[in-house]
Amino acid sequence: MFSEKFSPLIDRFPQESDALRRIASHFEVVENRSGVKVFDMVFDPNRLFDISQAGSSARFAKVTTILIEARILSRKFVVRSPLGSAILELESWYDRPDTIYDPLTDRELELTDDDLETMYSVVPDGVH
Amino acid sequence: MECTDVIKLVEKVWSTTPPAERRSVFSLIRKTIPNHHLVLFDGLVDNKRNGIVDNPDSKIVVLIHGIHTDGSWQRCVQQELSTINGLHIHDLGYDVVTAIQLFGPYRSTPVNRIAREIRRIKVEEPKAKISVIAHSFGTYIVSKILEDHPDIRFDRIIMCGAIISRAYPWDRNARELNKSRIINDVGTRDIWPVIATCTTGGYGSSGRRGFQSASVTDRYFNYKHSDFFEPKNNHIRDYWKPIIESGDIPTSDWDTKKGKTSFPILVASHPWIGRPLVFLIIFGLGILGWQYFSKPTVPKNESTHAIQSGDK
Amino acid sequence: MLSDADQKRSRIIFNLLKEATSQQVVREFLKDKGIATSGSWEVIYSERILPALKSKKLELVDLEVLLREVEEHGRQHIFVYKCKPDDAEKLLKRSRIEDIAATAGLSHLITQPHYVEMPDQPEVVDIRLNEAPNGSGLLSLTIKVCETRESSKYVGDDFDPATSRRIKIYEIKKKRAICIAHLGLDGILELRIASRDTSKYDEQISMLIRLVNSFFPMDSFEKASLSKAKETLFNKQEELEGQVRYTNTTAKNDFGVSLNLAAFNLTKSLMDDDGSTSAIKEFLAKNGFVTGSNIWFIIPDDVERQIHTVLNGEVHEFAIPAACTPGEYSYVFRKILSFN
Repeated sequence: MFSEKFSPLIDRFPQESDALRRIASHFEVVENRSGVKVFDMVFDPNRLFDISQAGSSARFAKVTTILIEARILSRKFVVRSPLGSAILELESWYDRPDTIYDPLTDRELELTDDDLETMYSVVPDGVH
Repeated sequence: MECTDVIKLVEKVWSTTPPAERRSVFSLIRKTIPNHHLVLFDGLVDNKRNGIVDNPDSKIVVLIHGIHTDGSWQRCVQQELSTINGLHIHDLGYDVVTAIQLFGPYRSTPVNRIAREIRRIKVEEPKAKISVIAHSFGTYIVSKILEDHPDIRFDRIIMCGAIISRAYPWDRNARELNKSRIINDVGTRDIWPVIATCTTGGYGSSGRRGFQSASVTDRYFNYKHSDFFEPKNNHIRDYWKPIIESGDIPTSDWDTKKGKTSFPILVASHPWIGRPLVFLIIFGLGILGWQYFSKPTVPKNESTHAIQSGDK
Repeated sequence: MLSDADQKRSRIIFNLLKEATSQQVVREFLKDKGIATSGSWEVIYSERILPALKSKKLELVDLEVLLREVEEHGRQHIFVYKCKPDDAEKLLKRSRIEDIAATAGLSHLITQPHYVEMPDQPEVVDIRLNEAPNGSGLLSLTIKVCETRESSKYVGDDFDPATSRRIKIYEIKKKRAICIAHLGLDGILELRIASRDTSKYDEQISMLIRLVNSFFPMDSFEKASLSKAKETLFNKQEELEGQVRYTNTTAKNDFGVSLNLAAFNLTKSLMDDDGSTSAIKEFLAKNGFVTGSNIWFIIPDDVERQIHTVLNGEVHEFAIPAACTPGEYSYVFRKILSFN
């Protein structure tokens, strides 16, 4: 079970265990309902913050740090086409280009920092 | 550089940098962050970008254990309270305090350590309301923190097995808290608060007899010192969880059933009677012991000869 | 041996290839011909292509065909018209076409395309008559038009504290663009316009029609609506699994309500999400209609190769935003028509 990956982290990080437990529980529900689709899950930060009930920016940053370093989630920055799908993925905010070609509308788009969305996605396990 | 330093740095730089310059400024600052804190740094900056703000309803409960333990009961509390929305539990530990240290005068190390930890929590989560559940020596730590560290305040205080003086000035040290926010759960079979009171200074028997004060809600239970954590009693679930979750204070049936405190306990737990009495007893025993062991001992042959000489 | 004229032409064609495609494509072309491929663009021309042309290992027509392939297919918006097949047969008479070309002073283009890098005005540069192998007549006519377009690219901005104004700076670039008009015996006329940074192609269509109207009188044609194809492609998603992948669908109804579904990114499929497919089915069942989709045709025998197609814009329009081969273009177009 994917959600079992959280157990060692919950033991190792007691101060963040409440938030980790809530996220694990959310994954468990999805996994029970949709199986391997759990590997397709993506969250924007506000959604993950709500799920974890981290309560503070500092705690949330610590929780995401734990999950990223444990290779359960990865943090990416995406730019979306006006039609909705992500057309560019970046590792870092600092790498944002000034323009990008959108294949969905076949047009060049100018980008600002506001166009960069953070996404937390599940790290594939090599099989999924 | 500690986690707290990274948190403070991001907070400060974000609020003092114009939006148009943030990307370039943080890109430069990132180069000074130690590798093992880079993911945390990126996460903190990203939270700012996404408008993640501290939830003003966020609640933290810190758990402070007693002596002779590293607080294994804290896991039970964490488990029971984890279903409360928006709540986070911090179990704060310190090096095991032995009975000798308990009775000795040097007790500030664990107090300062816990105070430091609480301050760190406040820096990282300035909006969170911090409550405390303390047991035994942990209650003493709470009382000293309130006395000596006025910058640290709690939203609610729950005590059990308390060894704080019954005359503790709650109205001075926790004047912002009313009776419904300071709860003292008393074990009417708890001997340790009495022993602490009558064998050394600075402690009291509030965990056995209650504060009986306008500032504190005492609840009585037919417990010994650590029975609050016995699974069969479900104390955490039935008596603490409602307080933390909604502020409701369930009453204890034992309040009306407990009966009178026995005279010896009353005497022993009185700091001006019990303590001198105990010291007197200890002193008396000491004198007797000294007399017994310091009497000159005569060898058997000499004593027989003396008798024979006396006879002549 | 290579004449001076041919050498000059090879240089022009090569420069056009550089603009139209990538080194990778050219290298693969050379590899197929058994010619070495390493080096920069300049090395590829002077030390690979030119010697191969001189030694006849490579013919000039091979380069012409490569150029045709890379610049005439993909990265285009295609506007589809149709006429009756009988009318198409009349339009595709060789003598008629030669007469029109002669009148317009374009006869030389029937035998030899004209290679121009950046014409001042849009001009016809190639007239290709595709003969039936059995000599029974023409199967199709392709007219190629070349134009120079200006595009502006954002390069930065500047803040003037004196006026409190932020000024955006754009670099204006000139770019060569190819438009194609192609008529087949089946009566289908394709006006293929090179992609530009806008959603409206009226100007380009007008320009192209103006230049080819004598060959393809537009009175004989009407717009071929692809609405049915869009609906069919959407309704048969499950049936077409393995042939077509969907990443975006937009639908509207007569109350102005629109519904847009988008997969997370361009590698995912909307079919993987039950919730969204149920939602749009429900919307369409209650008098909604699909207005656009981004779909990916999976090339048979090569599942890794998927041709991105945009079914959007005008009723008779679709687009292939990325480069593709003539075979891939043909496959996609035929598929769309089959659903129509």
